[in-house]
Amino acid sequence: MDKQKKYLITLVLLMLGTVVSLAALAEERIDVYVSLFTVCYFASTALYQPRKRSFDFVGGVLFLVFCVIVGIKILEIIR
Amino acid sequence: MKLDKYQYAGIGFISFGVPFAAYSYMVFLSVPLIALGLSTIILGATLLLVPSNPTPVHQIRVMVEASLVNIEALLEEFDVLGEAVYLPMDERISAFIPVEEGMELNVDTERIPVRVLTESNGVPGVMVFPPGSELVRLALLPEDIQVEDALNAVLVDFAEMTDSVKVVSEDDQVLVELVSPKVGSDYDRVNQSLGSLAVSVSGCVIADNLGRPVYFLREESVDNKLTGFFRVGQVG
Repeated sequence: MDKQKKYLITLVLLMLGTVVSLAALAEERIDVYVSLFTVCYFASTALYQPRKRSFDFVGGVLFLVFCVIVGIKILEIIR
Repeated sequence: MKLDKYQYAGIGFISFGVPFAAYSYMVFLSVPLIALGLSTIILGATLLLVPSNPTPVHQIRVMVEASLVNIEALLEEFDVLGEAVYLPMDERISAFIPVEEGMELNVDTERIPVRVLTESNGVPGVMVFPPGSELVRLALLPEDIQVEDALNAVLVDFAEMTDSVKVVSEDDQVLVELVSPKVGSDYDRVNQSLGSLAVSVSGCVIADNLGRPVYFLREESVDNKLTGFFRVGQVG
């Protein structure tokens, strides 16, 4: 099995595992899901380093959303 | 634009994920279902981004084209003008190119000495290992595959050198039509003796598939189609 397939299978399992685990814990905050999706994405990308067609826009968008979530949390703490 | 299987899957995931997440948000009001939709969108976008083939095909094509420089230099050095005969050897395909053009040849695969400067039945020539030889070996073709399927597997799927391949064979003549070839070579001697890169690879594939010497006759280019003409010889 080539690393592209391993990467995609790992990503599917991690994402599915995240949704199932958090749903089982009755988690209702969407930012928690998105944050963990971001972690899953970057962890599997770092692990397999797959070849990509172009700029990693998925990682870029996830990172941006993650930064916004963290920023909001920091603002909540400061206030 | 031709999409690969991952891109089709990616479009499918996104097509499912977007309405699913929107419907879950507006109707079910269920965060886990919205998250499931979002994860499907992320997976779909990732599938669009990741090519199914882990090898960088474009770079390989450039390297294969560049490897023709050495063959061109060799052909120029020995002033070789003949048309190649693709010979199936133990593991690879070699090409015997007679020094003079238009020679009526009957190459004996078993008895031809394997060295750069060689001769077959008294006809002097050079022996080279064309780039297609390695492509055929690396493509790992199954043994019972048909010629046209083998050509498609190597030229279209593995090396992505052309959009499609058609084969017409009659008696010992084989005609290979390549639609929209994406590779070419500016090396006159190589083009004359071995055929342009895609045609040369075709010769290697046919020789490997049939296990018989394949004589390159000529090639013709019309619009976006390149046609290679070959004659299949007898073993021994």
